[in-house]
Amino acid sequence: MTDRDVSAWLDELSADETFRSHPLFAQLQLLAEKYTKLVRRLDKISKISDSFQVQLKELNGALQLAALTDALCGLPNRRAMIDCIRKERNRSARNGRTFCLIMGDIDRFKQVNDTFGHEAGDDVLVATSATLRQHLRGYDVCSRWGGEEFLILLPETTLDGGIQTAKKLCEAVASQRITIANPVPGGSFRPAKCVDGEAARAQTSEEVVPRSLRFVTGTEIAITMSLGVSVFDHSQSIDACIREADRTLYAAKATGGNCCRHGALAETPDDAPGDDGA
Amino acid sequence: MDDLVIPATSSSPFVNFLAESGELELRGESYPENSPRFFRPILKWLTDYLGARTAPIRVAISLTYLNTSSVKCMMDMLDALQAAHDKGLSIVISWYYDGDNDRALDLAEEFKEELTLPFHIIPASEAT
Repeated sequence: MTDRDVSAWLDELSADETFRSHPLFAQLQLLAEKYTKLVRRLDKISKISDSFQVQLKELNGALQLAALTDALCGLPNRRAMIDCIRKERNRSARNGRTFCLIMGDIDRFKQVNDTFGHEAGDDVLVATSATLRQHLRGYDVCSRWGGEEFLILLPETTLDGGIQTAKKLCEAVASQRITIANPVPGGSFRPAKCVDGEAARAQTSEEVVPRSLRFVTGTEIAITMSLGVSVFDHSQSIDACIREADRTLYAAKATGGNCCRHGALAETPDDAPGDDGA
Repeated sequence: MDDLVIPATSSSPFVNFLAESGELELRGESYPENSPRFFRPILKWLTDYLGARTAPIRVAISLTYLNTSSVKCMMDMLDALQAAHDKGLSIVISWYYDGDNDRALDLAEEFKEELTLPFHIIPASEAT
């Protein structure tokens, strides 16, 4: 019986003179009021308690999300990526289709940090994350694997498809223009004023700004990325597939960067080797 | 009357009831294994205190989590404060909540609904 039911019942009894004049009616009224209060209080306690449980659940969800997301780039982190790869491996075993991993690493990232400071390095990471994400399919997964390393999962993709995607990403990263929030750390940097990358390089103070960093305008730079592609083979482990992507990435780095390589170490056509050590 | 001071634990709040100044503070989280056992001495102290107190009382509550039995105990404490207020004792409650959490504000409102005594809901960032 709800508190309203009790009130209605009591009103009904009160309307009847026989009940109203009964010697126990006043006590009955008191009892009904206490019961009403008790029911209302129970509802209130349940409501508050439920709210605390929901709040706890929401906080847990936020915590879990934070544990699986890279705070700077907003991409899945290493732990989340390993989960995704495991799921894809199981899916691949069921449907018989293969998938690819691409390991990408920003070339000469240390020089960005050393030249402009870590804030600028963060700008580069955030911008590059967005560029990679923009050039992938909705169901591809791009994670921040380590410092300036990104691991990309391409579900249901052959090696050829993986290579094409890696080339596309390589070009997209090289053509992006990244705004540096604070381009003059300590006033040691003289920015170039032209738009052309090569000309900018020529106009930039070589001893202060490494020539591998191309300045497009006074506050914008262009960077490059090296990428290694591996295709998952059911005879190998996930770790082995990641190692293969890593190994081919370093093969790309060894040729100067700004290019992609795949498992067979064959050079991909139309790639553009970098100008110095990556 | 002696003060009632109970240090916080991982599952019970800090209780700092100062008899002379009339400042009563509850802070932390409350989900002790046995809430009635934890709150019984607190409620007893409060009831005795309210029966003897004539000067104003200020209550500061900052509880981020309460389990169901703690909610019930908290309601009993608030009922005691309300009853004393109804008898003419000056009592003001300040309920501090996480200003970034809308649900925490709703919860504070739920407690406030049960009372007619002055009950101020204050974002924790404004706490002094």
